Amino acid sequence: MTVLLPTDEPARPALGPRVVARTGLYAFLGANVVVVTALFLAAGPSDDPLLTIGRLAGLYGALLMAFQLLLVARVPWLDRRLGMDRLTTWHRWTGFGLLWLLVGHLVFIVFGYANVEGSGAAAELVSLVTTMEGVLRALVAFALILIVCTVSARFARKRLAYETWHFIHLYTYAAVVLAFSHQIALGQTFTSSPFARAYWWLLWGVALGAVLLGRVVLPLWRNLRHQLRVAAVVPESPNVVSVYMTGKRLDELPARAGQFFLWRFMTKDRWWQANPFSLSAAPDGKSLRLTAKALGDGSSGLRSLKVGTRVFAEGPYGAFTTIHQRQVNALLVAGGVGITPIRALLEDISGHVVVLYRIGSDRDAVLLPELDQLARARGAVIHVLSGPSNAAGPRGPLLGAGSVHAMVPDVLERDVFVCGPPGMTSAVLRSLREIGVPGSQVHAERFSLAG
Amino acid sequence: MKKTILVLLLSAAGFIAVWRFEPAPLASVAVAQPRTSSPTTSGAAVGATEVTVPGSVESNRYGTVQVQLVFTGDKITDVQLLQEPTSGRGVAALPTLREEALQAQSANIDTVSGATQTSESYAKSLQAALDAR
Repeated sequence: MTVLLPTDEPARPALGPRVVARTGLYAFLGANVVVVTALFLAAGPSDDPLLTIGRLAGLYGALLMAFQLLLVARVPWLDRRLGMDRLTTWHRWTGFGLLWLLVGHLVFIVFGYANVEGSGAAAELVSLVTTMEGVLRALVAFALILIVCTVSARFARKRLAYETWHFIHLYTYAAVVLAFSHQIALGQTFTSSPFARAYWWLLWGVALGAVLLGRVVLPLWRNLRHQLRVAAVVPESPNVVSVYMTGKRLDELPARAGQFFLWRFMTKDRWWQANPFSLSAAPDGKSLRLTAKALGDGSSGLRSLKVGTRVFAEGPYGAFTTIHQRQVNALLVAGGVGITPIRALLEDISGHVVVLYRIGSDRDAVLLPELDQLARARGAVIHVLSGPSNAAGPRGPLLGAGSVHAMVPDVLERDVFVCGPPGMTSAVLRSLREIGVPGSQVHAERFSLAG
Repeated sequence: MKKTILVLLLSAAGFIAVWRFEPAPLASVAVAQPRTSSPTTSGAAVGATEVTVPGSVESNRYGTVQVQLVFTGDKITDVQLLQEPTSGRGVAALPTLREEALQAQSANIDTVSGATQTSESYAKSLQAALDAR
C-alpha cells in the first residue's frame, strides 16, 4: 500500500506539549517545596523533634493543598496539554498524600505539645483548641477534608450521584479558608517573617485565583459572549442522539476537534446537571454538535430538548486533539459512543488515517454513514469490528496486539488516539504497549467526570 | 432543592460560629515579689548604683507579661518579672527570654519557638523599660 504523504506538515516542536506541561507542574511544585523548606529553616526548628516534624508536615500539606487547587482549576493551558482526566487522576493521588500529611501534622503537633507540657494527648488537644487562636478552625477544616476524602474513596464514590459528591467536595473551599487563617495566625514560619507571610498570601492568591478564573470567570465570560442555543435534536440510533447548537461569534471560540464541554441545558428540571459530552464534529465556526448515548439521567433526557433552549457550556476541555500529534500519520481507535471525538478528529487530523471502530452489535454503529463519507473524501481506512467482548478473530482478540498489528502494520510510525469505555481503552493501551508503540505517540481519553 | 438550601444555611451558620470562636486566654498573676533568678555577683561594677525600671504591661492570649529591668550603670544586670503567665507554653520560655535579654542588652531578642506571643510581649515590655530610662 502506497500512501502519499503531504509535504506541508507544520514543524513540530522537539518536546511534546504533554512533556512541557508536566515538567512545568513538577518545576512549580519543586520550586515551592524549596521555598517552603528554606522559610521553615529560617524560622528555626522547634526544641521538640515531634513539633518539628508536625510543623513540616503541616507546611507541606498546606502546599499540596494549594497545588490541588491548581490541578482542578481548569486552567486552559494545562487542560489542553494534559487533559482533564489526567489532571483529575493526579488530583486524586495528591489528595490521598495530602490527607496523610494532615493526619501527621495533627498527631505530631498534639503529641509534641503533650510531650513539652507533660500532659495527655486528649487533654492537650482540648487545651490547644480552647486556648490558641485558629486551632478550632484548623480542626474543623481537617474534619471537612476528612469527609471529602471519605466520599471520594472508590467504594463511596460509586454509590453517590455526581452532583451529591460534587456538592460535598465544594466544602473543600470552606476548609481552605479556615486552614489558611490558621496557618497565618499560628504557623511559626509565617508569624516570624513578613516575607514568608507575603509569599504565602501570593501562593494562595495564585491558587484560588486560578480556580476563580478557570471555573467561574472564563465560563461566564464565554457564555455571555457566545450565547448558545439548541438548534436541532437528531436521533442517531434508538439510544443515541445528536444535539446541534448555534450561537454568536462561534468562530472565536477556541474549541478543537476531540474536545468536550460540560453542557448544561437551561430547562427548569435539568439546569443543575452538567454533563460532559464530546463535540462529534470539528467546530466550523457557526455551530457545535454533540452526540451522546443514553447512559445516565443526563444523556437520556436529551431527546426531549426543545429547539431554542439556552445552553450553558463550560469548556472546551481536553487534550484529545491534534496538538499532540507527533507523527505524520495516525490511527484512531473508537469504542461505542467513544466514536464522537474520533469522528471530529477525523476531520481535523492530518496525514493518512486508519480508524478502528469497535461496536457491540451493528445497531450501535452510530455516525457510520458520515464516517464513511469523510473517509472517502480524505482517503482514510475504516475497520468496523463487531461482536461480543469475548469475540476473537484469526489473530486473537479483536483489539489484541496481533489483530491491531495485522490491520495496521505501520502502527509504530503512527500517533494512536483511543477513546472508548474504560475496559476497552485499557485493552487497547495494553496491546499498543505489547506492540511497542512509544508512549509519547499514544493519546487516550477516559470518558467520565471526576471520580 | 429545599434540602440543599437547608444544608447550605446550616453550613453557613456553623462556619460563622467556628470563625467567631474566641479561645479564652490563660490567666496570669501579678508576681508579688520581683523574682531574681540568681543573686548577681557584685564584682563587675563596684560602686555603681542599681536602678530598677519597670516595663509596660503587655497582654496576649496566653497571659500578661511585665518585666522590670535592673541596671547597674548602663548595663542590664537582671530582668525581673512583675507579671507573668501562670501556665502554658509561655512559662517555659521565660528563663530563655531572660538569658537572651541579658546577652543582647537590648529588646532585640529571638522569639522562642512555641511561645511566639509571650516572646513578643516580653520584647515589647522590655523595650518600654529601655525607653523609660
